[in-house]
Parts: sequence; C-alpha cells; structure tokens
Amino acid sequence: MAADLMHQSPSYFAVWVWLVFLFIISLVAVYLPFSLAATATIIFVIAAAKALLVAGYYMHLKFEQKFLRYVAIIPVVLFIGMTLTLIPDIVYNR
Amino acid sequence: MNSVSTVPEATTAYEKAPAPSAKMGMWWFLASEIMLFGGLIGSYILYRLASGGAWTELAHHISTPIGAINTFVLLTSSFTMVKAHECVMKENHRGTRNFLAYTVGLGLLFLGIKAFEYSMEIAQGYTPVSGMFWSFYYTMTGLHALHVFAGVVVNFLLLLRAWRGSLWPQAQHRVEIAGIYWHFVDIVWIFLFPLIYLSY
Repeated sequence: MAADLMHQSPSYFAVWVWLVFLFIISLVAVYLPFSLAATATIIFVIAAAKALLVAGYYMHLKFEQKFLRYVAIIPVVLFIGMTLTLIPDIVYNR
Repeated sequence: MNSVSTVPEATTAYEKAPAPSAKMGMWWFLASEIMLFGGLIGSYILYRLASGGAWTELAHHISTPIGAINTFVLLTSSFTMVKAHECVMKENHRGTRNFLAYTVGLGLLFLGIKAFEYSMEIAQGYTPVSGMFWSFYYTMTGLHALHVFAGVVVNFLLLLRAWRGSLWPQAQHRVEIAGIYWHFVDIVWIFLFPLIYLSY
C-alpha cells in the first residue's frame, strides 16, 4: 500500500512549486485595482486551491478511501454553513 | 473440485476499517480541530463584516511581509515533512533524519518570527485586550502557534528516534501520522494568512 502511494503521487517538489506559485499570485492580487470583495474572493479561492493540493497530495487524501475524505470535508461544510447561517443575524441585525 | 481463494477475506472490524487505527484516530482528531478553527474563523469573518470597514482599517497595522515570510516557511516545512515520510517508507535513514531536522528547524523559525511579530505589535500598544479585532487576532494566531509548537515537539521526538535508529521496523508509520497533523497546521495557516494579512 505504501509503495503504491509512492508510485501514484506526483513529485512532492512539483506540488511545492505550485504552492509557492499560488502564494505569490495571492500576494500580487492584493495590489491589483480590484474592489475588496473581488480581491477577497480571488485570495480565498487561491487559498482553497492550496489547501486542496496539501490535503490531496501531502496528506494523501486523494489516494485514501472515501470515508476519510468525508471525515475531513463534513466539518468544513458544517462551519461554512454555520457562518453563512449567522450572517443575517450578526452582520445585518446588530 | 472447488477453487479456494488464497486471499483471506476481511472478517474483523479492524480488517475492514478504511485505514489503520492510528490514521483513523488522527483524522477524527483533525475533524474536531477543523470545528475549533472553523468556529474562530467563522466568528472573525462575521464580526469583520459587521464592523463596517473599521476592522479593515485595523488590519493595516499587521505586517504583511512578516506574514508572507511565515507562510513560505510553513509551506516549505510541509514539503520537508512529506519528504521525511517518503524517506522513512524507503528506509532511507539519513534522508529521514535530514528532512525531519529541516521540518523541526522550519517550525522553530516560524515560532521565532511569530514571537518577533507579537513583540513588535505589543510594543506599538496592540495587545489582546486592545479591542475585539486584536483579541481575535491574538487568539487565532496564538492558538495556531500553540499547535505549531506541539507539532515541533512531536517531530523532534521522532527525529530523536530516527537518530537512534529505533524508528524502524515498528514505528516508522508514526512519521506519516505526525505528517498528517503537520499538514493540517499548514492548511490552517493557508487560510489565516489571507484572512488576517491580505484582506485590506
């Protein structure tokens, strides 16, 4: 199983290069003439991409059984849902 | 004559589990950690949206270059940690020791830079009781730093075992488990960095 993982996963160095590249893009995005909302969207989409690279290739979630992916993704869905649900109350109703 | 399968079927719960116990246990733990940091991050986002731009102004006082350096340090430490795992599975003893040492070193560097950053902000009068924004800032980054410290301790203990040669043949899987934790700490910072240092 471990040997299979080594064969399946791409070069860890290539993933690191992508992570650094995306990190630099997010730094550059802050200085572009976009609105705060647009900039925030760009940098968080980039952050999500970086997180997926780390989770998928460094944590090997891409090659694990689906159950582990559910264990990882369900809490994320829960806290995003909690945050979105509270927006009408906390952001607009203070 | 009936053909007999030579591969025994999984019959116990342990054999049918999606992953070995230690890995399952670490992922269940990380699920709870996602709720912990998710709650903090979600609350910060809500209060920041409700602040009407006031928190965006306060965020200007946080040093983006220092945060960027720390992000690069942690991303690189994730690379060295997964390389340590690769080396341990190939029974490359020297590579394992080297990459674990790099990971510990980069973790300590992250903590050192964080301590320097805190001292700068405190010297300017921005403490955890300076308001809700700073309270959130110190809580989120401080809790993350504590997690980094715990990871550094674990990785250092694994490094000691690697130096003594006692990681093999029974304990080498611990590097993978510690690595899963370390990558999670990196992922949290991947989101904290744009949230705190870039969103202004």
